[in-house]
Amino acid sequence: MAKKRTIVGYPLVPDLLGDMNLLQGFPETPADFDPNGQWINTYRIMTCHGYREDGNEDIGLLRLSKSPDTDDTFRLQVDREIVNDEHRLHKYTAEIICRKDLSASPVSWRLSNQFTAPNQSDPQTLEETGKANGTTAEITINNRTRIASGANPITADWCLFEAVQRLPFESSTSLVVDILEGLSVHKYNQRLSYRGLYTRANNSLQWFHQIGHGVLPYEYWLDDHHRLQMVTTGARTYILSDDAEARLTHQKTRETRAFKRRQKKYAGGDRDA
Amino acid sequence: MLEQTQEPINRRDFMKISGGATLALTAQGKRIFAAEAPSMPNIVLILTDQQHLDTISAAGCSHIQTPALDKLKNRGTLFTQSYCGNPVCGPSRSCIFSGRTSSETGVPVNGRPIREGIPNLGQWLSQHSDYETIYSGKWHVPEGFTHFIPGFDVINTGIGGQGNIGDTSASRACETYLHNRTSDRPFFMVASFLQPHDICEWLRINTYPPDQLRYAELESELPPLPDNFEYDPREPDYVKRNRQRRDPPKGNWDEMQWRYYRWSYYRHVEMVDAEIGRILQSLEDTDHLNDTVVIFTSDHGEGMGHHQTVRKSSLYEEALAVPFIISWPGHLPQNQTNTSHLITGMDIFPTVCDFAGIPLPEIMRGRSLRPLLTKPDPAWDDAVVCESNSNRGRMVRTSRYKYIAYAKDEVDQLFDMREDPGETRNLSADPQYVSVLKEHRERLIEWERQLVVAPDLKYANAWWRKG
Repeated sequence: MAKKRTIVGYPLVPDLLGDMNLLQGFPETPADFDPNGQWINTYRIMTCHGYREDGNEDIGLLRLSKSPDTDDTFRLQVDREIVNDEHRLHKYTAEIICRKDLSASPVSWRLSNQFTAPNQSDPQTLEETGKANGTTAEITINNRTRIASGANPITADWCLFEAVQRLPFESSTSLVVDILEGLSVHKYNQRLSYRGLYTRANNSLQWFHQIGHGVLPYEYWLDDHHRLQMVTTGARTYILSDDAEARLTHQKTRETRAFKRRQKKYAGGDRDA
Repeated sequence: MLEQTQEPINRRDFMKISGGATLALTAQGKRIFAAEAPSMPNIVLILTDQQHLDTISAAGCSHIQTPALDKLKNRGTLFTQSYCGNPVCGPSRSCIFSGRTSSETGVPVNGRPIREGIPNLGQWLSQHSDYETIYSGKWHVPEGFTHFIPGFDVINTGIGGQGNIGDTSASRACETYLHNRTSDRPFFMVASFLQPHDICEWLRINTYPPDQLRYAELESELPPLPDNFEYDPREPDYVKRNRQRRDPPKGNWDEMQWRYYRWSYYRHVEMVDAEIGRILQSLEDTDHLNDTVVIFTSDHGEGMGHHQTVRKSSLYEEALAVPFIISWPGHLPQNQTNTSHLITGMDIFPTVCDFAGIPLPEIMRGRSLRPLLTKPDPAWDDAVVCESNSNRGRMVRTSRYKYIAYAKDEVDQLFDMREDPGETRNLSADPQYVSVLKEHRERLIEWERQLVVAPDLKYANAWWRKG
């Protein structure tokens, strides 16, 4: 008999995730945390299938590391891993030089995009570079350059994770930008604004949201130190976490097992299963 | 054992007999197909999941921005009378990849494999040509996301229920493959995206609407309700029950929530459009734009509030009709819209074989669409039959009418698609339409007679009784 499942029913917010045992608080922010300084934020990437009892999985990790560069710029290192089903691993490694402006707009970047099969053999890699200025960006892969150009200043989704930490908690705060999602696909007219103070039984957080072309609304939750604690967009959440690595390892193990089960089921290899 | 053809053909033989220039003229004498068509072009099949027909900005939808699909439409032919074989994922995909009906493939419901003896496109191309056969993303016949797809090299799997993140891996894998490949063999690449299917997850986390719109600034941007939001209450019981099982009744949605759902659905489509854009850009960047046929469609549609439905499964247009584009710049007509010919997902298999220059399996329900693109007045029987989940229903569409029947249900539906494209007036009980009804029932029986259905198929004989 099929297990009874209860639909979640409501958008994902910190207290709902806590109620569903998917969030046990956030790591303590060091007293000297300075969003303008040097820091590392590691997020577990958790997805929800809309049921309270199951299907809520950690499928990856996003680590953002900010470090100094020049008087006008800083470095943002991005490490992101996603465990696709049957342990097909997709990794991004990017280093972005960002302006110290409101949207952390990228000046230039290098991005490595890597796929690894479950048996770890023969990873497939693609490198790209890019630069941006104002409303225009250039992305180069294998010496072929394409232009992304829009009506608004260009930044990136990962850059906004940094930028939102430097925005004031004021109702007048708002940004209008275009983003290069994953430093690659152009999404227009993103409006990021302060939403207010989020207070529920277990949490008191500062709340922003972002609406625009090609995305479900993003909601950003920050603590009073301006450290970004959690982000949601649709069924996907990024949760600041001390055990994101361990959770990722667990997911890899689980998907490797799934791969082996299917390998046995479809004995004969990939093509002739 | 796979089905065999009478005359298998290899690439070398094919190249000897093909490659000549083809020129076709329209009735007005306009040249529509002039360039020499290379033999065995690369072929990219782009699939989305649960995409409503009317979700392309260049095709007139004003609530969405789809620059990639716009580009593809402008480079090719958009078919507006396009249907999936069955408005549920697995069954529809079995039709796409075999050219047979879901009652024949043995996939009347999700979670079943295409039955033994019926080859999928990857197997068929591998056996009969030199094509590299590459797959990225959702499969679902039966496994959803897997390395084990017969006949294909899988370059990425994807993530069940999470197209919002797995689709990026799927398109990035295609991009990486295109940039890194060194082979001079032609490729058949399937980029199979899950979006906008994530609307299913969205519905489960937005079932209970708040007192106020969650994002107040959206109020002026929300799309209106569809014209056919209301429905004819004389529906088959099966359709009524399906509607009651869905989320909106549980959440007691008001107009604002319906409209917010529609707004959100468009954003899901924009997400997958961005991934499609990455594939098209990669073809350009690797100089494959003019030697690659791109076929785009979806496995089924989405309710979007039409007839107050969400998701799929019904035989109304919102679930059954899907966007469909074929493009081959320089070799096929560009920026065309075909509004007259009825086609289905089963037509993809023979169309791919036609472009690849290989013969078809002995039994094939689909028809190559190539003549519709290259001939001014092609012979084409404008009638299609589609099936529904669990083999429970049938839809017969002819150029003017649409007939729907469900097994063990007294109520049939008949719509005049010219006068009532929103399917709001069921004419099946109207004495004026007795002969139309009879004609469509006879067409259905005629169609059923030729099928070689899977053993132990539920409702296998239900359609004969409709006559």
